[in-house]
Amino acid sequence: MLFNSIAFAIYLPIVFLLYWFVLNKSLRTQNLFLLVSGFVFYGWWDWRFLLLLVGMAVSNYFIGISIESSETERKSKSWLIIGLVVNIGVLCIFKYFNFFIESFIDFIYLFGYNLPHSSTRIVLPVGISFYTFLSISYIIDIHKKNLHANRNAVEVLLSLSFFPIILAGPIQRPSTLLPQIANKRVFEYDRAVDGMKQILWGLFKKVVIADNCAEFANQIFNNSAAYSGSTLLLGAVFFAIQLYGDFSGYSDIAIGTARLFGFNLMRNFAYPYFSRDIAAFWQRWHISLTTWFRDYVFLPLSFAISYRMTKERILFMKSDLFIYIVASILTWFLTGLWHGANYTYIIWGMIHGLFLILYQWQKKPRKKLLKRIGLNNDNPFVVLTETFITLAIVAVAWIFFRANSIEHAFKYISEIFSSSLFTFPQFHGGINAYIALLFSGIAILIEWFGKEHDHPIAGIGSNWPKTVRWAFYYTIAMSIFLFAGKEQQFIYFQF
Amino acid sequence: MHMKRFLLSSTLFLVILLITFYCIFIQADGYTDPFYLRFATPKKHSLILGTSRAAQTIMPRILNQTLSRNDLFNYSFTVGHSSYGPTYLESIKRKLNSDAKKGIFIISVDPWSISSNTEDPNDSSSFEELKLALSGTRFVNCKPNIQYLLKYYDKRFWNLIFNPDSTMLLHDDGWFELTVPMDSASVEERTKIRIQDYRNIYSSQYKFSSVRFNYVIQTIKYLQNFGTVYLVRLPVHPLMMQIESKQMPDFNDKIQKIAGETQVDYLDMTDLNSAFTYVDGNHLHKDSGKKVSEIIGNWIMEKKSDLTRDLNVQ
Repeated sequence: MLFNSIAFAIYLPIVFLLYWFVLNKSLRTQNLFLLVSGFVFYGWWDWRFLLLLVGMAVSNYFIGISIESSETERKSKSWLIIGLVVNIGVLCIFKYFNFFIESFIDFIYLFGYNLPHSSTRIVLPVGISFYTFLSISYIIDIHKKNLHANRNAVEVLLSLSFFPIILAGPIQRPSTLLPQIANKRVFEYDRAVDGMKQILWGLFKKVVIADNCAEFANQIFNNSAAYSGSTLLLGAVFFAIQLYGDFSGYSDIAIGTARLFGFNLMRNFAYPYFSRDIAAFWQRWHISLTTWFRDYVFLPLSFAISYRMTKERILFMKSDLFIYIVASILTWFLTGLWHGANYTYIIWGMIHGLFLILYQWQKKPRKKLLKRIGLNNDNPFVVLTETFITLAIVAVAWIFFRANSIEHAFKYISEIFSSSLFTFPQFHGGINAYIALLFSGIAILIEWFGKEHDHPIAGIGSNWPKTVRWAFYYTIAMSIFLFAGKEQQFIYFQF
Repeated sequence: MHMKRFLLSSTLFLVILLITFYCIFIQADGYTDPFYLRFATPKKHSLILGTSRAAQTIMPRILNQTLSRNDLFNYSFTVGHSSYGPTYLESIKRKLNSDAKKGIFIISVDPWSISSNTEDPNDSSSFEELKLALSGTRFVNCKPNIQYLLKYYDKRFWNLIFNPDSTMLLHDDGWFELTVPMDSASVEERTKIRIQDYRNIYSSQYKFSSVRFNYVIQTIKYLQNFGTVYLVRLPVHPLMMQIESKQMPDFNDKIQKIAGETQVDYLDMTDLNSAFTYVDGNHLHKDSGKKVSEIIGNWIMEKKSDLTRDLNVQ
């Protein structure tokens, strides 16, 4: 079920009213109801993959108990390994089977052997990357004794299949969700109102900004050979806006929906395009994923490498930097691979890894340079320049994210930086293109003025008279209705 | 208390929004798109059926004038939507006023409307129209038709209020009026493209469908319960005629057979192909459409007079 669908518009109030009015007497019943509602929500897309979701959640429930109740550390670790194999195995089969087979065939072809291409195409279950990561963090946290293995099956299953987050995050770890599930929720007016505002803003970003920009991003990327450098640059801008609107919009709707039911989820986006460096960007973009990779891949990997490190310098660099580089390369390789079964995503991940490494390396030289030229760190010129450079790096990397192949991405970029960059962009857009750009500009302004809050319209209008405030929300709602672009699937559903 | 306040505020906000949405939906009219108004008009007693050729050619008001009636309605769409088959028949049943007794039904036929571009031309479960508006629009007589607007209107809703498409107008009687440049260069260009498409692409894709053919018969038999049915083959551009003659050389024989079996009159106007003006080799220009409508009207009058004479003789 999509958040921006009539089905969800009917589903949500029904679930809300039953949850707070009919089933609020018993926490157990309330949780069970949420669990069943989540299955309906997920199964609406395809009931067959609901079986997979339930199967995975039940498996992890039992694996969690087995890990905790193991008599020895070795046995506990064995159960953890079984759990990881199951979770990662399922993910690999559904998400990477085709990719691995095709890559293997291509690799063998390099030696002159032509293997037949596989005609088997495995369908990717929606949300598998997200709920698999939820499950992995559950069993790892139990093993590390950061979390107690809950014996209440409903609570555990609910934490692994909570409907607002099941399709595309945020990856709300069970360690933070389970305590909320296990305790009675109280309806709070301010939280519910804020949740509604966040849903409204999320819908605006998805339906007005992202879907309208998608039309032109798709047009330009799908026929990139026919366009000038300036048009391709505009296409990259449209895609960057689309991706942010789509994904952060989805997260806002998910978080806002959860708040209606009394749950507080983690923030997933913190105005990343206002970042002044790549490290700040990754502290603000898809926060739940980057913190997941940090906690479950980067840090354990860094510790494991440093544990084996005996020297202070390796390959002409300090061992700290060496550890950081190795751990970053592997983490960003996996981050790219998580996003999709295609080399373009891997390259995208590696680009970000590389720039993060460069960022770490340039910290001291940059400080010295600023001191030498007499500019302080908060100088507006410095801030603007760095923000612009960061945006440029991110936008170029997004080209790999969107392109059909590595070759396509390189061709796209090289054509941008050709002499046709200095011509006026030309594509089939008409008034709808101006609408997309106008609303994108308005959204950027609203986000800029509201950036001190979790979501921009949380604070906007708090001092206004009620009628003016309502007129503001009404305008957003009417914009959604009047200017909704052609429906596009949420991009992160494909992950 | 808090919950009550939340529910009241949310409900009030939602009601205001829904009222606004409704006010915008009722702006939808003949400029909205080529199909909407056909689903937003009351049920009818007399129908004109067929594809886009019939939609753009046959003018109900001309027929009404000729036949001294006021109830004819053009319920034709496109070859994708309204080729004869279960979907179109179902939709016709929904559009037809069941009180109709002496209705007039003009069924326009051509080789494409009894063909299918699916792998198996007789597999009705894969017919193109199943994914389109005729299949999915349950209510075909309500204004505003919110189901259609939400599901099938493919522009942004602000287009309902601003920026109407002035090149097209769907009239209240279902006639679809298209205004395109008619200078010779434009006509030649459009005709060339259209003929090329039909010759190079559609001819190989479309194959005769016995299922669709049978549904023409079923449609006739159904409509005969409510009035008199007439079969018509509209004029086409001579170049298009060549393609159709090659595509289905026995088309006329097939239709004559239907006409004989179901005892309906059949008017084949393709003898007059060269007498009319076409906008693109496939569709008649509105001025020619007016003449064609008059011819059909007069022919129906003639058939009615013959029938009356025959009955008097008996």
